[in-house]
Amino acid sequence: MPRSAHSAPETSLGRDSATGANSSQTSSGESAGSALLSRRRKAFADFPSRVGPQVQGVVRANVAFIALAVLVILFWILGGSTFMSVRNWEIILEQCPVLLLLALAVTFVITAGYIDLSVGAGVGFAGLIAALGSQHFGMPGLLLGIVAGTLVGIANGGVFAFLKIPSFIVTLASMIILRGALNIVSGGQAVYTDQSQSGTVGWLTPALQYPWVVIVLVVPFAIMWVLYNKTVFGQNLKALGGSERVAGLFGVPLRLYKVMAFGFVGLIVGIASVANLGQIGAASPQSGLGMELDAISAVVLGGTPLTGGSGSVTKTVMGTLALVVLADGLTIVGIPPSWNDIVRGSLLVIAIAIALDRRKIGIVK
Amino acid sequence: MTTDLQSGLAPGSARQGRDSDQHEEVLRVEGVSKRFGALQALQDVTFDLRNQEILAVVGANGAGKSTLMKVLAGVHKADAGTIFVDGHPVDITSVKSSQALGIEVVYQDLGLVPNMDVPFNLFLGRTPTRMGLFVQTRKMRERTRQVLDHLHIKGLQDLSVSVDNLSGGQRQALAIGRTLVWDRRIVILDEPAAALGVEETNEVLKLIEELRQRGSSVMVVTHNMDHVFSLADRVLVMRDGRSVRQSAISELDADQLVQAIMLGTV
Repeated sequence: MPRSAHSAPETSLGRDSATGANSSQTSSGESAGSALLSRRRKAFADFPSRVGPQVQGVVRANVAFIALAVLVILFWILGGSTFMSVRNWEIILEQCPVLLLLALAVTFVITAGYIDLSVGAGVGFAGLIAALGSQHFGMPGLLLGIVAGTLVGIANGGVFAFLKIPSFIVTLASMIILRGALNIVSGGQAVYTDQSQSGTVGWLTPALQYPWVVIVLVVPFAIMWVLYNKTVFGQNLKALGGSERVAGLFGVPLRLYKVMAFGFVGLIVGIASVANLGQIGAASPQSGLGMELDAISAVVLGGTPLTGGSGSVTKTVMGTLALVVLADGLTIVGIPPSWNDIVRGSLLVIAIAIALDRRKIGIVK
Repeated sequence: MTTDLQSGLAPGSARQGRDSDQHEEVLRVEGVSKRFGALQALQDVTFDLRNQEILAVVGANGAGKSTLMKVLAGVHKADAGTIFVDGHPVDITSVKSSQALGIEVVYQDLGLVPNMDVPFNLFLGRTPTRMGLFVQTRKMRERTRQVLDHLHIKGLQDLSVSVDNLSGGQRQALAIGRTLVWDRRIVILDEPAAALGVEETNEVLKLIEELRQRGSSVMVVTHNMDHVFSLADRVLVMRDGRSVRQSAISELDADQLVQAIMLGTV
């Protein structure tokens, strides 16, 4: 968000010079000229300390980029050429598709001020349906997984919009139900996409490997960037995050948007589940486990506030990359997987501690 | 929608080809009631709004002014009664249907989304799109620029600032500017000067007068007796959810008006 870049606290002069437009915004009680003069005088008086907040503002706005850069440099130093090898970066990219799809989708609902906790279980469940579908109908059967994911999303949105149950509760319940259904239908066993149990899924598995994986990453990102920034859908979701009440007063169809937002997440969950299946070759009760938290972490690390109203799909990509690089780097450095979780959690807290502009928030709950 | 967008900002453009008879009834509300659970918010409210007049709506807190406004805005649906626009009975069931009748409401809290920019707020709920999906940013910006120039909003060069960075007066002007974008026939303002300084209040009063000049019929909900007498042609007094009196300003003095508000008698 460019706005947060130059809305560093108490640098009102800095902000004015940055936007060139807000000079009268705080001067409702006095004339703009004298306000500017006194502000300029004040700013001049404490000139040395003004640099700090401005730098802080830039850091805050770009914490995802900085986190990613720091991690890359850190693991370059610790892991050396093993980390910086072409093959390792191919692996990093190959680990991105499922998480990136989920994180991008979740960015939309978080922007509207909602949350979706069911995407991990959704990947598991939709993946199971896709695997069963492909057993019966071959590759086209995978589409059943996408349909299943979409229907789950629409159901989430419908319950949320029409029964007026908070999205946190709806999707928490949905997560639990989907996990249960996954266990029952799969019988606790891995379900392969075909009887040969080869672990590869037609053309899908190679498509998710380097170099094709680049397309698999870039195309959804481009579509979602346009959807988020250039369409009435994305704009109205930001408005819902800013003030759902006002949006409703002016005729934005709230229920439709809620169903559409969660339905959209469901669609992407379905696609992600197929990608997951393509990489693993089978759906298991463990599929997608904990992925909802990874996706939310990536979004938050990217700097999209959970309170809604603003966000950035580009920064969500950075947040996702940072998480994947972290996991990869820790493995290369030889740190046990359990420590991965501790480091990841700590990184999240550190990143948010830096990124959060507390002066803009009255009360932190 | 397209014609609305392209229409000019010249005075009177809202009602070209319309009969400019000052006494023509634009809006008539007959026997409208609304109940929320145990609360009878509106009971048998009856009044009319004439062409290009400014009608002040007064009453104590809880008199039903806001509910009446929201019924006309399509936010609440009346339980009983009939609403006529241009003499024809109409059904206001949603915000969209109210908007389609040419009714625009400027809410007391201004109805602005704080995190969004100026053009988005002007077009909130009616964003112009290509193929129903892609926002026509340039069109919105051009039209916004036109409206802002017309409103003489000072110090607002950068349209991409979010609305929470504007001053109270700028926001109020913006909220009223929304009626200019769409050339509304019936404009309802709730306490338009409630949180403003003297200078900004005068600007807003000027804007309201201008809305009338441009052909809109205006209802102003207000607590300010000075504004009632300086601005309005007629006044509607509400008390306990009922419309107790509607009369020309010239027939009342301030004492009688206060008496009507407080006691419901004249």
